[in-house]
Amino acid sequence: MDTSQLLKGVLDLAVLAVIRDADGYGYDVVRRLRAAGFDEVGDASVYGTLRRLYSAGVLTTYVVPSEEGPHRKYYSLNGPGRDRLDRSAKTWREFTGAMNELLDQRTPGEHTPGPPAFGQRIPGRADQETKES
Amino acid sequence: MNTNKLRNTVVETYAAAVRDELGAFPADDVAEIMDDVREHLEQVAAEFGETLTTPRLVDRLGAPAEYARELSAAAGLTPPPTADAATSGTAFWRPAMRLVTAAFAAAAVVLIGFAVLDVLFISGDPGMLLGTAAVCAVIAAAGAALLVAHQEPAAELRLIPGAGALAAAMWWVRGRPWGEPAVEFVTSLRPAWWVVRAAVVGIAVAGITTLAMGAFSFVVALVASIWLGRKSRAQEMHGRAARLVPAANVALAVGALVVCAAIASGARPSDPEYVSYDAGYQDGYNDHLHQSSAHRTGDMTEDDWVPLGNDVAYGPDGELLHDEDWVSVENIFAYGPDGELLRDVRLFDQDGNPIELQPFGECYDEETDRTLLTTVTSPWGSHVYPRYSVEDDGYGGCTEPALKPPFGDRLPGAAAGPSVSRDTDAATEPEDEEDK
Repeated sequence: MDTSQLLKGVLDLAVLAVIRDADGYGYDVVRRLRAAGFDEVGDASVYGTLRRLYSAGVLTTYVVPSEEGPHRKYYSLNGPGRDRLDRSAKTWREFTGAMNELLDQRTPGEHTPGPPAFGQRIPGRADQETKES
Repeated sequence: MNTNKLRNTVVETYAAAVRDELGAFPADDVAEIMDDVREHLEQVAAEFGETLTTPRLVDRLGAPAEYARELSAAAGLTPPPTADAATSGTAFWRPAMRLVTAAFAAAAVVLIGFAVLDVLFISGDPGMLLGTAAVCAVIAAAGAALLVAHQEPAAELRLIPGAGALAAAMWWVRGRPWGEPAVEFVTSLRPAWWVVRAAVVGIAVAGITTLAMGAFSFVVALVASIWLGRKSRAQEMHGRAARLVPAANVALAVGALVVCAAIASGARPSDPEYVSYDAGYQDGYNDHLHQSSAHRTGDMTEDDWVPLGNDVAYGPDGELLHDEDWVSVENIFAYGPDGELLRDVRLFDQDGNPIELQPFGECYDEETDRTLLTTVTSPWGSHVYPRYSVEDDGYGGCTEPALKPPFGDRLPGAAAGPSVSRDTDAATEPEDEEDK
C-alpha cells in the first residue's frame, strides 16, 4: 500500500496534531512531520494544507521577523481548530481500531502468518501503523 | 555575497516558474500563496547553503509544475470559471485561436529546421522554406499577441497547446547536471542578442532606404538595445514595459527571419542576362570523359549516349542559362569569322571553369523503355559544343543523335572573313563525317 496515498487522507489531522502543542511556520511543520516518520510528505502539500486550514478558519497566523532571511509566518491552533483536531482524532482512533480488529481476526486453526514465503513484504504498512498508534 | 546572489537567482527562477503555473487561479490567492512559496524556497535554500543548485532544488521539491500542482491541490484551490465559459462567443474562438497559434508556431519551427537541413545537405536555396516559415511565425506571433491582450500573459500563453510541454522540457533540462551550465551559457549570450537585434533593425532600414540611414539606425538601435537589455536583465522593468520587451523581441526575431528569407531568395537571378553554369559537377564531368573515352573514335551509337541523370540537371542554385524569353539554353552553336560552323568548341568561363549547360528536355523511347535527354553531351566533355540532339521521331521512338545547327553548317550571308586555320582541328574531330 502506498503510504503517500494514505497520508493524503489524514494530512489535515497530522498537521493539526503537529502544531497542537507548539506553533510552527511552514517549513518547521514539514520538518516536524518528517521527524515523526512521515518521510513521504511533500513540502508543497504541507504548505497547501496549512493554507486551506487557515482559510477554513481553524488556524490563526502571525508573522515573526527573522534576523536572517525572510519573515516567518507562524500558524497556531484556535478554538475551532482544537475542536476539529479532537473530532478528527476520535474518528481516526475509531477507524484504526476497526481496521486493527479486522486485521487481527483469525479463523480458528490458522496459525500466525509469518512473512509470506513468496510474497513481498510491504515496508510502508507496518511502519505506518506502529508509528501512528 | 556571491552565494547569496546565486541563491536568489535559483530561488527567483523557481518561484517565477511556480507563479506561472498558478496563473489560472485568482490573482489574490496566488499573491498570498507566492509569499508562502518564497518563504519556503528561502528556507530550503538556506538548508542547502552554498551547495544550492537548480538540479538539487528540483530533486528536492520536484519540477515547478509538480510543486504547483501539489500545492494547489492541497490548498483546495479551484480554477475560476474562465472568461471562455462566460461568453459563448469567445468559448469557441479563444481555443480555436490557441490551436491556430500553436499550429503555426510549430509549422514555423519545423520549416526553419527543414531550411537548415536544406542549406546543409540539399539545394542550398532555402528562400522558399524561410519565406513560408516567416509567414507562419508572423501568424503565430500575431495570434499570441491577440490572446495575451487584456489577459495575464503567463496564464494565457500556458493554455496554448504545447506551451506546458515546452515549460516542462525547460525544467527537465534545468534538472540535469549539465542543464544549469547550458542555460547559463545561453543566458551569457544575451549581450550578443542585443547587438543582433540592433543589426536586424539596421539591415531592415538599409534595405528600405539607404546604407547610410541603415548604419545610423544601427548605431541608434544598438544604444537603445543595450540600455533596454541591461534594464530588463536587472529586472527593473515592470508591468506593461516588462511585457512589451519580450513581445518586441519576438517581433524582431520574426523580422530577422523575414530578412533572411528575402536575402536567400533575392540571391537568385532576376535578370535574363544572368549567366550561370555549374562548376560543382566537375566530378560528373570527369566521369563522363572517362566513360566515353572508349568511343572517341567511330560513330556515335545509341549506346554511347550517356544521358545525364536528373540529379545533375540543375545547378546548386537552380540556375539555368536561358535566353531573353526565359527559354532555357540547351545547346550552343558557334560560327567562326568565315561563317563556318565550329565544332567541338570547348567553353570556359573567366576562372577556367568549364561551362556546362544542363540538359533537361527528354525523349521517351518505347522500344528500349529508356528516357533520353534531348541533348547529348559530347564524349569530349560536357563543356564541348555544339552537342548532338535527339528528337521524338513521332513513332514512339527517338531519332539518332545528330547535329542540328539552326543556320546549317554555314551562316547564311556571312562574308568570307579572314582565314582561320581551323582545318587542323577539324581533322581530329570524331564527328567529322557528320553531314548536315
